[in-house]
Amino acid sequence: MSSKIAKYEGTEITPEDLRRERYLMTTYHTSLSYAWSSGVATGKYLAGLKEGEIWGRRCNGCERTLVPPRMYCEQCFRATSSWVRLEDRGKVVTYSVSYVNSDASRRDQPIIVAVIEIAGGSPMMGILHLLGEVAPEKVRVSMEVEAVWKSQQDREGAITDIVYFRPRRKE
Amino acid sequence: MEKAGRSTIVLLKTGRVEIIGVGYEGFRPVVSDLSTRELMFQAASKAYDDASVNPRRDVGSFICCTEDLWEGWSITDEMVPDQIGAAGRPLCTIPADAVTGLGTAVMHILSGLAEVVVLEAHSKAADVLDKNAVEVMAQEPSLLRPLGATSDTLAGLEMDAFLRTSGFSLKDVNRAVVRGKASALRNPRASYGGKFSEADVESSEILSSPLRVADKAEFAEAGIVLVLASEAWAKKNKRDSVGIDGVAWNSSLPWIEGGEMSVSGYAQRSYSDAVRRAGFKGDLEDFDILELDDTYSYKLLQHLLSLAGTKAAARRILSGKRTALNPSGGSLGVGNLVEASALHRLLECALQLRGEAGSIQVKGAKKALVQSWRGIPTGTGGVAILSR
Ligand SMILES: [Zn+2]
Repeated sequence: MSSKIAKYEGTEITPEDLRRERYLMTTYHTSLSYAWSSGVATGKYLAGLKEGEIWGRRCNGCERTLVPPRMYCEQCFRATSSWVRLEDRGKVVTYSVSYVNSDASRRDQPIIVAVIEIAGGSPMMGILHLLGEVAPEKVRVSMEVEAVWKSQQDREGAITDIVYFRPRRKE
Repeated sequence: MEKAGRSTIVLLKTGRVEIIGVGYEGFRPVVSDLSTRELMFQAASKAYDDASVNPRRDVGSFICCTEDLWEGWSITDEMVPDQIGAAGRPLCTIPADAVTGLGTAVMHILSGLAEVVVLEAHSKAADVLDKNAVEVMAQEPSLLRPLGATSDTLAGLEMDAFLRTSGFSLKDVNRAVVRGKASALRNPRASYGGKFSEADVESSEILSSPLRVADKAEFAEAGIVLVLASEAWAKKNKRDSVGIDGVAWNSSLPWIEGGEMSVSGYAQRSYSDAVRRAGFKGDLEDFDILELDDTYSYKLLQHLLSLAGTKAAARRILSGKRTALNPSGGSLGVGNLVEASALHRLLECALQLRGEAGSIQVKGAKKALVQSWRGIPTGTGGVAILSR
């Protein structure tokens, strides 16, 4: 509201009016549901995760390895050429300590969301995932991390088969 | 009928726009092996090969006709560019049917924005588990949705009024279904061809009277891409092409509010504008091929009547002596491709005019007309006139 206008003409609808349904309210609930075909590339990627493996696709045109994999290279506009098994580790490219849930409510404990450049993929080929076993203030860009997998019987072919990435333990 | 202004009309001031390439993939009830993106990539790759263009170099603008609720993905723009060669290049998605998309492409070319434009649309209808939920979201939320009527109910209401006011009978509707299914048997792109009798249609289960299951096109999946270029570009680069003589689109009030029952104003006005633009002096019967929207069987007759002007002219076209009506089998035979339905009709006409329609080829076809409709509960559609 403009600083020069303290009150507009007309009848104000207050939050109390809405709560008490003094006006006609239309509330509509829908149940939109989808089952997206994963396709060849994402299908193989998810099947790999179930086996505890991360797979990428190699483009013979630009010689990049794409992860998550795609059957086409968006730069060369050609079909990608071959599957490449990548390591289940990488390094942090960027991260954010998040205090909000996906419904915008506040979290007590933050999650650390990061883009992780997977070892064996091309530079800046990153996947989005969570970081764990590390305090927010200890996270650094370029930090080496490794995947922590769900147990084999709990894996279902989903991105959440990796629980999170944690700082790499040197062998 | 409400008084409406001029349709959005594209003025072809500096020569025609040409279709220089077509590509498609899918055309099955369910394309389960490919993701939406992979389906689009396959269709685009074929179209670019057909047009002999490199999308990374030759294409100045990409247009994708898509609707977020059918994708299950908000702001779909983000998932479109990579797989059609548009990464880092000008692309827009428009939530409209492909005749409107074609008009947009024509404007991009004739305004000098681009010499070569790509037009894409696809259907992954089987990914949408509750299609009814999506369709009901198109209804006005305070006055229509609370009543619990589905799209099929609204279609049933319109069909009932159409049969009472147009002079067409249920027998005519039955024949429309039979001919669509029969034509589709010869079309390799059709998923729902079959030898149906009028009795089969008659005995089909009622959805919402008088609309029956057989009156409604079943869903199918496909990816379709057209490559368009200015006439000058096509000539200079020696591309074989099909010309776009005129394109127009229009909206009426939905029939529920507007009361248009026997004819559809959007189709009439789009037709008269497209014809004027094309400088076409003949009648509807002078087209060699008509691909008219038949998402519901009675809509084919309503659209035909709207364009033909009189019942007698519409009946002459239905007799099939001069003009081929929906030789592809239409949506009733090929399947409802949601936002790709209009692009499918354009594809069929482009193949026909190139003489590449195979077993459904209309001999000597030189002039074709496509008419589109955006579906219940809209009163929106367009017309495109193509020639060779
Ligand atoms: Zn490449």
